Amino acid sequence: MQVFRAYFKVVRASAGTIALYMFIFLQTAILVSVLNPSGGAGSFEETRTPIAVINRDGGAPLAQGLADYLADTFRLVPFPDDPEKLQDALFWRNVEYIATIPEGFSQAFMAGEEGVAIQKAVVPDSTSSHYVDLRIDKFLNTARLHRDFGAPGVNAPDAQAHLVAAVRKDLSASTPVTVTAGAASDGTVPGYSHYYSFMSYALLAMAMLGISSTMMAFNKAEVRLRNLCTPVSVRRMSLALAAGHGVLAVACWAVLVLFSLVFHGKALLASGRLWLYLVNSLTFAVVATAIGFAVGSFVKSGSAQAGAVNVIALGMSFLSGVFVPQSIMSQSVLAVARFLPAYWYIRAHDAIGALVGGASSGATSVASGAASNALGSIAPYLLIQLGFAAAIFSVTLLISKERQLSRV
Amino acid sequence: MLISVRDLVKRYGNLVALDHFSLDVREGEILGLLGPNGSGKTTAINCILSLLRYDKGTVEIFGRPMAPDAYESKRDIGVVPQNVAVFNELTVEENIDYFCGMYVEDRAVRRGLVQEAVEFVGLADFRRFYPRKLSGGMLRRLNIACGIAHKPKLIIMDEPTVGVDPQSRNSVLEGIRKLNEHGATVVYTSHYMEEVEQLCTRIVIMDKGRTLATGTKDELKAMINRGETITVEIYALQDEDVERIRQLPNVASVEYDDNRLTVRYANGQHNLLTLLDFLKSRDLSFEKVYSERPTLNDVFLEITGRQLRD
Repeated sequence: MQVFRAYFKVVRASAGTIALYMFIFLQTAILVSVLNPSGGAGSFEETRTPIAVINRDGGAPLAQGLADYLADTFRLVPFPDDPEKLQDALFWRNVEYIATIPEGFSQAFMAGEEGVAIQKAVVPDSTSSHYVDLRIDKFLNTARLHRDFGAPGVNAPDAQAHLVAAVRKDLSASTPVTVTAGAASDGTVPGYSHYYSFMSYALLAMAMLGISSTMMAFNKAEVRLRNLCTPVSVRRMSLALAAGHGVLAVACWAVLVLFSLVFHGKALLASGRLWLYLVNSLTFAVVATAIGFAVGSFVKSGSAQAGAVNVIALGMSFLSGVFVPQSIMSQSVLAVARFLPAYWYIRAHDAIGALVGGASSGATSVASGAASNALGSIAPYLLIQLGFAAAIFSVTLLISKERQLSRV
Repeated sequence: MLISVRDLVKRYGNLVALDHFSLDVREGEILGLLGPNGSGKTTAINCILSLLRYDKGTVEIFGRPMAPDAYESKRDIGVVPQNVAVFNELTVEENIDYFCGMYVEDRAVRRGLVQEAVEFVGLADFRRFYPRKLSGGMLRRLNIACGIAHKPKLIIMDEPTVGVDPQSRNSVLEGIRKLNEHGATVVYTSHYMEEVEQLCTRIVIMDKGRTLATGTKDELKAMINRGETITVEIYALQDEDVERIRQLPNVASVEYDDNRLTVRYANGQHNLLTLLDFLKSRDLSFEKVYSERPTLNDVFLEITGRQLRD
């Protein structure tokens, strides 16, 4: 009990630094998840590229139809038909694409003459311009099909208007897309998802710092020898320290969870995913404890400890996709990250986010079958994390034992 | 015997740190373990406390074999290590409470003991200070308080006053004497001769891992072939007189220089009277007379040699 009590008195000395890590984390998490709830690569938002359409074909319905069709997808910026002004618009990136429909284009098209083409001017290396090309091609190809294969009304006096109507009808068909990975029903990534992703960094840094600080204090050669002179067995001391590590890690986890409820409590509870996030982050707390134990066993000075905490916590977080989604990381980086426990934390985190409708069946209750299925889907990742923790503990204990024996 | 060490051998590779070292500590005594740097004092203490494995020999404390798991024995031992062993993250009071709490579980009892220890080492005004705010001497005193707060029957102090100022040292030595008066047996290692001479009831001189001499300070002084030294301030002493003094009983050597006669005796009694009788019989007048007994420092240097150590 004496060792256990002293443990937290020693932690008190590092409380300021631990609080600083928490403050930085909370600040980042709030900024990202509260101020920008829909941001991030996991969500989808249609953007409208600015383009200009110069229609020299007067009031031809086909040319007008094409312009109207493009206006549905892109933002049409009105510009006079002045080459100099148009060039300026491209240079200053006011538009990324200028499509010029030449005079007589509609008539030539209806007559089947292929020599008259739509002219374009684009910003160099613009990816959006390819998309505009695709849309124009799509419109004209569909119109060509109707023209060539006798769509109703093509030979009528108002053939162009009929053709445009038929093309617009065809092109109005669309496939609904739903983004499910880590996304809310409206396709945005919820704030709590960001929070629990970043939480692994904060948890790692805080637990590592607290645990390694106490380990260093108790492992100091003079104190260690002095403790060996007391009637308290090494086993009892080790158990007290282990209990201290556990309580500290759980306390760090609990504080971070508490803040997640403060900021996202309503959304988390409604999602039905809260308990999965809790299980995953608690599992990672075990990993953080193991890493803190390893750092504390090998590091001797405060500066080395600070370096180790920053390098391990930040390095592992960046490589494992804590700050950047794994989906946009290179395969070579991910191949390396597989050997880091945070990678599997994020895999579990993403798997939780991908559960359609969360772990609840409907929005009202958590069916036991759905819950066990949800847990089953992340169980392999949790087990891998626990495997990492066990391996780190074992290797550290083994090396420490060897070092102790070599000193006697 | 409170401590009984027999034929202890400890090797570090080819270096023999303890070479059949034996030691007996009797209940109620203050035993001084004297030796030059590297003589094996700390190694001996660490082996006695089972902090180090040894190659050969036996150690018994309170009549029981000493081992890393001899918790019953450890409960009654207080240790003040050579290097300050405190937590930098705990205050003075918390440090003493931590180490005291390893022996005494009752909080109320402990509170009283901590209070006593804080006052014993004169750190009452610094109880809420962290070690980094303390001077070197204060740190040493805190180290002592951590070792003796639980009032052990046996206190082992390994050079506890290194870096302590003379005032604090006297206070610490007085405190150790008080602990001894209250029944604690003390094993005290040091290379401060005057400290050991002033404090210890029995002294063991060791070097190169072996016990060279054991006894009270008088017994040790008697072991060396050297008695008192008498110095007389005297004018115009003739060479003939100097030669006659050299012939007096027990005289080992005589020097006369700058009106100062120095006579060293090998041993014996009434040497001063014999010398004064001789001076009177020769009608030689003198001014001042000094007589000095050999010090422990003389004994130490005689036994361990005067060669410088690393």
